[in-house]
Amino acid sequence: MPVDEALTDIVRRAAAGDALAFRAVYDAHLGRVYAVCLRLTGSREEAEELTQSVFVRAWEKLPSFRGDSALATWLHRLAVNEAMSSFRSTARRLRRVFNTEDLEAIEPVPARLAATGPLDLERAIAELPRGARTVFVLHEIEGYGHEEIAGITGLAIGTSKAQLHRARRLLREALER
Amino acid sequence: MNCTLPQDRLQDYLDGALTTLEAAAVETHLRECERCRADLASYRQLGARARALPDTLLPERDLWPGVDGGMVPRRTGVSPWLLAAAAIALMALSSAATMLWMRRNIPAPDSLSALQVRYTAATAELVRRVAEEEKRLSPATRAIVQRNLQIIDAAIRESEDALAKDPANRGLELMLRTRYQQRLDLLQQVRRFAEES
Repeated sequence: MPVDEALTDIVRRAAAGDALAFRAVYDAHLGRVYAVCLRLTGSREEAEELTQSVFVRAWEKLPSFRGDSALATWLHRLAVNEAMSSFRSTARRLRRVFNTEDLEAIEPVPARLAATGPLDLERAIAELPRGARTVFVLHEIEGYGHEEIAGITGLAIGTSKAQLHRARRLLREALER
Repeated sequence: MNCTLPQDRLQDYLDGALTTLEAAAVETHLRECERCRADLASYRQLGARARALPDTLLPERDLWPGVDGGMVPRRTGVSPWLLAAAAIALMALSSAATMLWMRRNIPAPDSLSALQVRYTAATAELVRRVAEEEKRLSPATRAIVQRNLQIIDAAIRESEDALAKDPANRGLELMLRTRYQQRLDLLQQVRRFAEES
């Protein structure tokens, strides 16, 4: 059986409810999904939870996967959407609890990545404010344009650009410290 | 000189978001302003570093139990053995999985012939036992086993050929090791399954 056919066959089995075939899908794509979750959240704990949610959602939605895009692309988009949904839910809760629209003022300084050794780029990205981090990761690492980012995040295109500029400035300062 | 160019304008230039006329004005400014040239270089370097970050990262703990616990079973008529074979075949074919493995295991360099000798020695007894016990499996299961072995063997041959042509390529060597291990895993599963049949 050709390689492409074999892969399609396994995805089809997973979509049909084969848990072990889905485990193979998970093994093959875990690293990519976890990487985007970790960079978007800036926190190991959040990324772990989010990764699990992404794969549970993938299990639920796989029957609707039509193969129009590669499975990796489909999972990646699912991860980004799950992250945005989680952020929106957190934002709603914070607004309600603190009765404020200025979420950055109350955004907790997260435990983030291990704070040992020299400040590297991963850690500096993790320490950005959430809005700036999201746009920087989507634009600079994941390669989305501002229009796509606006569609994903609900931000205006101008705000997306402003957040990217801010992220770059903050990263430069952090890395030059 | 006193720099009057806003940083946002410089970043718009970097992102190609300016009109030709606006970009030309920034370029004129850049010829005269050392600070902006340095800033631009710094932003470019930052982008290059971001794009060079690894595509895959591994969590520090096993996340599968949390995924497995959240999966509501769907009905399936497929046998457990077929599922196991499918899982192994995907692992054999997935370069992403290979990369994960490579990140976890960085063994010492080895020659192709030394690798082949060690692998053959490690699997000789297992191959013999599988050949005997395979008879207990149903014809349909045997066909699946054979199909999956063929897939992995083709991948092994491809890696061996590539490594023979480029013996110093560490990535190819690691990929070949992974594929040997995957064949070993498949044979062990066949043996276990035959024993339980």
